[in-house]
Amino acid sequence: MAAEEEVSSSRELLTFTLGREEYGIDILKVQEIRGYDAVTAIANAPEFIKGVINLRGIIVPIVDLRIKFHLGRVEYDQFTVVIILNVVNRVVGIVVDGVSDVIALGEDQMKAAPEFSSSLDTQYIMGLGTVDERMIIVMDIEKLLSSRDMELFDEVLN
Amino acid sequence: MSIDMSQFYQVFFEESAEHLASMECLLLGLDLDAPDPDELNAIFRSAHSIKGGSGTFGFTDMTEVTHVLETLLDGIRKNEIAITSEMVDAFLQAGDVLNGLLEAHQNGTIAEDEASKEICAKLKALTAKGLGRQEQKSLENSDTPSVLRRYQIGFPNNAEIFPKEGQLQNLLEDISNVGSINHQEINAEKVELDLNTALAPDGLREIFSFFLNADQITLTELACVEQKDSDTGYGFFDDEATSEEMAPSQEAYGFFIEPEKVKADVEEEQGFGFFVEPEQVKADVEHAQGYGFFKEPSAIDETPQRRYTDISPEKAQRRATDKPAAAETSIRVSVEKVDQMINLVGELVITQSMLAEAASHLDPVQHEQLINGLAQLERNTRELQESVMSVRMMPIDFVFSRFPRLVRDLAGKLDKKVQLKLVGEGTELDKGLIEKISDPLTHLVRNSLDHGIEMPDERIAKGKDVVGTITLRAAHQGGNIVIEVSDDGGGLNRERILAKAREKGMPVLDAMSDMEVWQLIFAPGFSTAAVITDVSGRGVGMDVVKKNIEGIGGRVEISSRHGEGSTITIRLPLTLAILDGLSIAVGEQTYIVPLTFISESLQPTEDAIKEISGQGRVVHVRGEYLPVIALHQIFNIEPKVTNPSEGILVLLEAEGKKVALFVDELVSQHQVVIKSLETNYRKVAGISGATIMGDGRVAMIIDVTALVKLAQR
Repeated sequence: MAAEEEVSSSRELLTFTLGREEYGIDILKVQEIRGYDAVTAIANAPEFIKGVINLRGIIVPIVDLRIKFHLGRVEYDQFTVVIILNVVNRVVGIVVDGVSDVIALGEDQMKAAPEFSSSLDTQYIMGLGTVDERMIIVMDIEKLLSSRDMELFDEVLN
Repeated sequence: MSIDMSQFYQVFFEESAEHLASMECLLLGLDLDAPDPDELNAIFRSAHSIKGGSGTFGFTDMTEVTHVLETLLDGIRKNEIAITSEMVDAFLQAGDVLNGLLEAHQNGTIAEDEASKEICAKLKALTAKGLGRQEQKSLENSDTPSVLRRYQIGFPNNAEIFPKEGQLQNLLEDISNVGSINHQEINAEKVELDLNTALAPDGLREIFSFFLNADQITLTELACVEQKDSDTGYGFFDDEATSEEMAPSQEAYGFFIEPEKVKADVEEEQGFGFFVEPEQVKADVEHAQGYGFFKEPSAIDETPQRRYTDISPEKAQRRATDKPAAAETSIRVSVEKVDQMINLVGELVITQSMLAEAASHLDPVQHEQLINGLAQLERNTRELQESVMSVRMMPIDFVFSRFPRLVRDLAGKLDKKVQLKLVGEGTELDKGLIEKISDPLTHLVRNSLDHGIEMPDERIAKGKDVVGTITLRAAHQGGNIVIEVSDDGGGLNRERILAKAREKGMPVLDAMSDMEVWQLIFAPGFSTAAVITDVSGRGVGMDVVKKNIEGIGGRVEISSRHGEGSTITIRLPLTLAILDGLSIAVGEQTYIVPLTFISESLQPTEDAIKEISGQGRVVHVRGEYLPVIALHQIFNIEPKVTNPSEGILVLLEAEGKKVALFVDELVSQHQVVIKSLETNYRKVAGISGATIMGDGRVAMIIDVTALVKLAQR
């Protein structure tokens, strides 16, 4: 029981940067991290859906969160990173500016997100965490990617 | 420790379904005149296995049905009972009932037991009847002592009971048919008879019941008379002999079912009320005696039996020639495992082609060993892919085998005489296709039977063989499977189709080619059938057939000659997982167009392209104007060329419409492994799926049918 409590009270997050903001997502949703490469465009898809890639035989759609959140200049170079995620039984890749770290965030380090106007709708923010004076926006990536305005899936869960 | 039986249920369900299928197949192939003992044994074993299995798992309803089924089958296989077509009908019906029960158990629901009770009763009746008749046969050849009953009968004789003259005489005749009247005393008030008969008192009372109320007659059983029968050459209705004959079977086998009861059952089946007229009464009494009883039902059965044998000789012959090996070893593997294997091999093929491409830039001299190794890898992967694919392949017999039954039942319903020919049942195709092809095929066969084959008298009038033929043929042709459903019936009626099309307001011309006219029947709601039957004719169907076939990458073609019959040909790809495609390039993108839709590709001259009021473009190809669809416009991509005369037009044909697809260039022809885009993404308009090219990149497969529709908007 004690061990379980410890797990729930602190969570491991993968942090990455989008523009000047730092985000964190549940590490358990992350399948792998790879470079941005060989994306095939999908006809008439929204701009932030870059296309699909072949991930060892699986066709995986790639979403550029920078475009989705209108975060300034979007460049694709050798440092551009794709985080492959496993959400709602699907495999989806997200393009971010860079992956920073894997951190453990205790419940006490998490604050509820205030009502503020950000590029990211507050309903997808689980809270704000502070680690070494850095503010990390903890994102509910599953909820975000399966939401209607991501246009990723035909049926939107919940 | 208790064992959880439910884990074995699935195996039982699958095995039982197989047993039922093989039983049905064998039954349909059975030659009634000379049933093959091996086949009878096989049928018996199937029933027995189901009985055993259902008993083990506690599905008592199935056990009950199989038990009676088995009893009758056992009698037949031991030559105690002669098989009749009525029995085969009952067996088939029992098979259906069992299938229903099996399904119910599989879904965890409770099946209605009405059907199983009904079939049990029917089978029991047949068993009793069968045993009775067999006994009868053996009696004909042997002198057996028989038991007779002696009755003293008395009833009043007046105008109220016998209002017409001769009615008493009729009754006496009826009585003398069931036994011998030793002594009779008739006066104006009453009649007294001394009768020797094999009938039980109840049976006897029934004879009288037409004229008399039960309380009006006095019936006293005097004694059982033993008699030695010495005369073998008697007529059946000779009074004494007949009674003697029946007696033992009643004594010995009466415990199965009371003859009266059997009689009642039969009467119910035949649908007459009791004692409709004196003759009927007489006939019934004859039935009760044991002989005439059998004659009637078999006369009724004559028609189905003939129909049946129409199919059977051919089928039996086939069975005899390609009897499956008895000890075929196989293992049961779930489809998912096989699919996973196919996927993995697909990956391997892609990896291999990526390696090959990488190696092609290397110096062949310096890397000779590597290049040789890669060549060997290529061979091995190809063989591996083929053999893994073959695991999913199943003979089309899995679909064909349901048709003999269907044709038999339908022909019976429609009063037509039809034989079914199956050719190339061993042709293998993908399991996924097998499942999807079965409904369209069923529809086509029903159509052929209902609309194609004429009624027997019509066929005679036309000088054709009375028995119509429906042929199901399957064969490999190139990379395709070709399945044909042909009949030697009336063929399609061009005039009627055109008239109907006009009635429906479809744009038709008298000058249309036959091919184009036949395509009209694929329009939704199109039916030229004069009468709607419960078999077909409602006009739902051909459009669905076509849609289903096209849905699995196939095509439907019709050829027909008036008065000689029609043939419907279905062309299918070998598997669902692989597609023959042409890769095309537009801007930076590569797309795959399925080859089945492509009729040709051409580079148009400048003046072949015409603008229509600045809206769209058409291309003039051999007298036809086809709309030009620019792929870059539909998919919003930056093309290399915008003038069709600098690019390529791919002429596509889908759902009877022709369009010209304008692309930058053709790349090459491939066999591609189809991947679903919807696994991790959603459906994209104009795209049917994706594939992975040799360089590891993803290419989209164009959904031609959707594209044609997309362009019309």
